[in-house]
Amino acid sequence: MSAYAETLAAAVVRRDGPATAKLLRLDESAHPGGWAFVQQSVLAKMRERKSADDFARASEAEAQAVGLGEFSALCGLHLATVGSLAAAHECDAGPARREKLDTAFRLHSQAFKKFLELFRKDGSSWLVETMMTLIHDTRSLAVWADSETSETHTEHLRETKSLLETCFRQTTMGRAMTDDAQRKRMVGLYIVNHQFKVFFALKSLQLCRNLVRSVEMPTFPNLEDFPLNQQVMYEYYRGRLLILDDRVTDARRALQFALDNCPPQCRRNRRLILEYLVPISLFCGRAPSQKLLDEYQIGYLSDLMRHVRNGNVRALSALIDDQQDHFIARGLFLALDQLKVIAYRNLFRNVVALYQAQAEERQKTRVPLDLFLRPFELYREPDPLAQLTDAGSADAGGDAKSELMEHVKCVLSNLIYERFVKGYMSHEKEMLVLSPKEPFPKLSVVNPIEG
Amino acid sequence: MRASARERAARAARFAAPAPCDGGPAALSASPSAVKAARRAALKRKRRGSSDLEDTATHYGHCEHLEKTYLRLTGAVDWSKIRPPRVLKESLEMVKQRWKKEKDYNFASSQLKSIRQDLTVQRCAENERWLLLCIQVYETNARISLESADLEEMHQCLSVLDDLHAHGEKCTRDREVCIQFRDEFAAYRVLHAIHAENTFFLNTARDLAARSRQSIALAHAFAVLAAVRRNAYVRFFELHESAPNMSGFLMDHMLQRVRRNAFQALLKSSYPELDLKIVQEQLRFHDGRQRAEGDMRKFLDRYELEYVYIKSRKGKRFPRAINVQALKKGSSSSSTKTR
Repeated sequence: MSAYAETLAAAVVRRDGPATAKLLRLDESAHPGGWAFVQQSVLAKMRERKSADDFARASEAEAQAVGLGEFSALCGLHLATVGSLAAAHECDAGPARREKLDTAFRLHSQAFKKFLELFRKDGSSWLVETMMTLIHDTRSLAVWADSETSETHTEHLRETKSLLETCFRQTTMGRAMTDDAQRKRMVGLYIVNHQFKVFFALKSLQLCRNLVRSVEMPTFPNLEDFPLNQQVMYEYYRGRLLILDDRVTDARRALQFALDNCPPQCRRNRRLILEYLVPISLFCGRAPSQKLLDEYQIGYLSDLMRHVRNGNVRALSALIDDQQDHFIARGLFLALDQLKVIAYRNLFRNVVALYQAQAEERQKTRVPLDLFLRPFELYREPDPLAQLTDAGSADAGGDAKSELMEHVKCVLSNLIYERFVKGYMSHEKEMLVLSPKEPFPKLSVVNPIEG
Repeated sequence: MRASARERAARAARFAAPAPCDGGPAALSASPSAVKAARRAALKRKRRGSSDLEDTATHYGHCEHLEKTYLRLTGAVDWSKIRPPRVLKESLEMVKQRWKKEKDYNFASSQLKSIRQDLTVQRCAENERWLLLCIQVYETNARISLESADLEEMHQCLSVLDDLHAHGEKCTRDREVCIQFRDEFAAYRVLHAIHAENTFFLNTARDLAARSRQSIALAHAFAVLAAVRRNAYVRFFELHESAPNMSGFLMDHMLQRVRRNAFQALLKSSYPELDLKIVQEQLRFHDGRQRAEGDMRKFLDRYELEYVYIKSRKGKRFPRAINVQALKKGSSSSSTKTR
């Protein structure tokens, strides 16, 4: 252990940021010989003591002896965290593991707090890499600890939230124009991205909105100045936030940026982006190729697209219902409802196309509404209420027909209102009069891509 | 910091005499260890300087009044004015009866709020024994507020009910009765969110969407959501007519908005005129035969419209249809989307 302390001391004396960061990481091999070995030896040493806290204090004392100075506490707590984590790995899932994780998290956040004191006192920026490491580790640990405790437990995440907020404040301190201050501020987006992860896990929309607001303040550096990977992550989360806020066109732009700038090797990330981007791109008439979908194994989205294209609202609804959990988890629930409108538009367009193919020239633009009745009946959205209430529609044929016509007219009037259809209806003659040119404008025109 | 002997005796006396309410936790018995524990707790309180509200042992009040006007609590609790759950149960009954007879919302609201206050102070929501009572109080309050169009109060009650019902799910006694109306009130939450345009709630209400497969009230609420979002006014009015429980009351508040959007759609899609008969049917205005007075007239007056008239036998002019052609020639601002 003193060897570790010495290495750390050397790095600190040199003010070697990256090296210090590496030494204080929780899951990388900071030592030659492999991380598992490190874990075991630390764990063995920890077991010689009464408790993890005891071990922390003892290691701190050792570190002091080696001349680590102010960083000794940090060193001690870090080692104790490593030990507790190792112990947690050894346990099976259950109260024992939960307890060890709790301890590990507690120690780690204490270490983090100590680190923040040192950071503030130091004032310069050589510790930024270490800060980033600690942020990442704290959050991962919090997520694990919370998930082990129970599905809805969020205490650790909340703690992380306050730590991150302190971090953020710290990075904005210091005189504005110095190099050091600049470097500190450049950690900002990294912190923001992690805060996004935490806030999404905590399901707090307001906190996310505040984040975006603070990024857009003039005191925050320009987004383009940050590394591209951080920008991608930021736009991804911002896009998700916009979906939740029902701002689909803006969301599309953010997510498209994220996809465009995410390198092809990062398959997992690209897949995540696509899962949001594809459904909302369909409003703009933009559909990804089958090849793309296959490549990222999002087959269910290709079914979605097919039903929308064919105007089969019935099948579309069934699919959405089926995957409901999945869509709600991503906040796409409301957005998908809009897809049904597009599907209806396609349904009506297909009927019109058939009609116009065999209609006389004079009559081409005048479509009897009757033609829509049957297709609508076949492909319309099923009514979940009807199933629940066993509403046997044993109406006389005439009644049902006029009811159907009411619904058709309603859908049509909305399609016209939303400019999906160019034309008008004559209620008396029960006819749809279409514009001779482009009665069904392209979707990219109706929902323009550039906001 | 030791309390004077007199104060200690006074506190001990509180526990020595059996309270008029039934049962209650062990702290209320006269056993010496319980008295000691209560005394210690009281001392701790005094040292911390906290109010009785943070007491660790559950206290019950001993007031017997069925009626009590609502007053905001400031400072320490006066236990002689707090009614124990047994009394609150009767108080709730009283409120219900009076409401049926008199429909006096001010009275009912004030009474219910003070019942809620007494329940909170005595921490009844945390006690399985009184959970059902809490639920019934809040359900009654929500229903009465809804009926009286006090949406704010209703919303408050709904939020608390959410929590209470969740507790009810997990409790061992009276579980069935506790969650009896859970879906009904969840549906009200959805409808209120639609009305308040709370998209975040609607977007993330995962468990509600799942439960809507089994519950008519919830399925209805989500159908309303779809209808409102897509401006499917025909569907909306169908759902309004078939609304379960009190969902119709909430939908009443959306009528204005739905009618306006529906009207825009009708206006945009009809040419050269839009017959008023259609407006009346589609937007469900129940006017008289004249179509010149009533709700529809008030509704249409908000827009700058031109009409096509017919002459009655008596020679008077009545509007028959809206002159859409004239509108389109004029300003085009009438066809802006309202969502």
